[in-house]
Amino acid sequence: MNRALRTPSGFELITAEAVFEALYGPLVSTEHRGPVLRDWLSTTLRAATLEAALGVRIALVFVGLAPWWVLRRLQSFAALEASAAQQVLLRLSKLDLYALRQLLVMLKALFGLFAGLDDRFVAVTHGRVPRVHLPQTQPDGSKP
Amino acid sequence: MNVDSAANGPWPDEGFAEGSVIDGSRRGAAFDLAADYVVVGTGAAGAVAGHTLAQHGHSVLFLEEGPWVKTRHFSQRVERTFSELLRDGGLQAMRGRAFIPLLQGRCVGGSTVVNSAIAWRLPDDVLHMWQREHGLDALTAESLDPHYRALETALQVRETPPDVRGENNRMFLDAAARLGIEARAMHRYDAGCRGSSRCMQGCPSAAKQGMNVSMVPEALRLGARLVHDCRVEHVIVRGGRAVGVRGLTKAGAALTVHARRGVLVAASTVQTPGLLRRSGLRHAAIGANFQAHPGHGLAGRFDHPVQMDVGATQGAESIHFRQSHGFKLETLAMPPELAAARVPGVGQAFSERMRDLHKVAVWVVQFRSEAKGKVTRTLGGGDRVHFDPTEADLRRVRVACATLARMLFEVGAKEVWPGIHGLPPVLTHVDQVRVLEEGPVDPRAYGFVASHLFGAARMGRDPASSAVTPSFETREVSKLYVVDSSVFPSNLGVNPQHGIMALSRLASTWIAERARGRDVA
Repeated sequence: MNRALRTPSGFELITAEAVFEALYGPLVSTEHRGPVLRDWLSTTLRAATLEAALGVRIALVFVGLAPWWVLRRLQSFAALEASAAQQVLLRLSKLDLYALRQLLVMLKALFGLFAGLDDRFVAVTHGRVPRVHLPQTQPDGSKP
Repeated sequence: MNVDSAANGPWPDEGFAEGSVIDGSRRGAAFDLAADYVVVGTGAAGAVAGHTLAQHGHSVLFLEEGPWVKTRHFSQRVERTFSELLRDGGLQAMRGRAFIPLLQGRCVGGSTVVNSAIAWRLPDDVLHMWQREHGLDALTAESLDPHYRALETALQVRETPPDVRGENNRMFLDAAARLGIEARAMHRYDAGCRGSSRCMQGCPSAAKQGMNVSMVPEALRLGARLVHDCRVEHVIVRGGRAVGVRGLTKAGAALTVHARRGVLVAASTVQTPGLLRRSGLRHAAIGANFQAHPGHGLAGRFDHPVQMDVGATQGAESIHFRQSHGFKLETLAMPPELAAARVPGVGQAFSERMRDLHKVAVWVVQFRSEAKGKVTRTLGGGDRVHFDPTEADLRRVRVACATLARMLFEVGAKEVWPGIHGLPPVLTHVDQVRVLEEGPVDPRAYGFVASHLFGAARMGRDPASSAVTPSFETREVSKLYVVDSSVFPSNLGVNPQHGIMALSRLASTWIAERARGRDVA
């Protein structure tokens, strides 16, 4: 039961891809999205507390359906063209209702962590390729 | 200065005697252990307590819920840090009118693995208040002095050296000097900081003297043992006396530990109350009087590189307003993936600002909240914090935000991003700072984060209002001691690690000496 509650639906995964694209798309490499994002999100939610996983899932459904009441268009967020998607996110970020506004903040923060796994994002935001440490081994002893 | 690549070690968190460390993630069959003292938790309080007792010749067993992530495994990637080192993967939040994220280390070393190693002795005004209002007469600057000194020597407290300050910290000190605000380079536990700006991700060079590379390894070399990845379910109480604990390893094995002389709880202000309740304690002060230092950050965009990834993560601070307004100002070098949530806008405007992150400085206010919250149990048996900053707290935060914005403009910021809902997301001139002084007095408008936590099992002389006696022993169960910041009767207005360690060292010294039959305190 717990596992099922933590597993994002197809609609949520498609919405996640679209939200990530709208927020971080220009900052990450072309391969750091799509299936990579889906796998990461599924793994992250499985490891999260039930409360947190449900919060993310609710946020994705909320944004996924937001065009209905923000733009009065019977389309999902994932089906929007880029400019309309930006318009929806901008409106959500300015909502006075705290609980709803926070859903977008949560997704922005969560997907920021995913973006941070991408070398291009790291280089772009540092203004250069930083001299990074990579771990010498994984916790299980294998090479990264 | 930055670090080119991870050095090869050997690191202080490696090479222990066979049998001294048990990995609970690989221990699936039930087992029993025994020690003079069991210490629950290996953060600032637990590590120092265990180390002190081991120094006094006692056998010590540490139990830690989280894993032991070693120096050579620390990653620059924040995502990995959060999932490996923080409780609930960093997704824990306090409840109230606003959700305030709560960052707690959950690993060997606790929050000292992910904090910035800032050292402050307990302020005199705080100690005087504890003496006056809570009867803690034995906690004086003089009685704590030898403990501070021992810790400062062992953990190499020193001022952040100029060569690792970085632009973020240098500009803060410059701005403060220009505006007549007293400020200083931070004093930190530093055995050779290389300015890699990775305190939050675990120090890659073991320079930061977190408990994972200092007190815990040292205690193990003195003969202590450690079981990590093992959650303590409850304390075993017989005849009103703590005689051991029951735990459960990550791999599912039941662990029973027999404690010959006592049990020390240092599971943190959030987890200690739950453990005491699960152990049958029912004092009304357990879970009550929770306090914190919530923080809010302002970002300034400059027209020159700031490079927050170069220099000490936190290296400059000001307590100029601590007495008058109850807040402290600090620098905080945020990794881009964390800063992203605070960068205003979406779409092209957001992308452009993200591309300019290397020109951004982040300075924060930590405020000494007058608000008191509580720690309760969730339906699933977890721990939940309820906390709401008061209107007076928020009025002081407004002053702090305006001060930080003025400081940023003073040293040339082209934009200041207040991150306060209902106000302009971007300020471009110092004249606009006035809007911050008139900002909202609603916690939902701010981006608070909390990491300094106090008081949910407070200590005092009054049996009705304190769950723990001035000797750090619980009122309901003898030989059960609480030595973490749960016992603090109030918050501090400065970073708490040094005070936590000093009190823990004092408490465990008393406990060890009492075990020898010496009357103390």
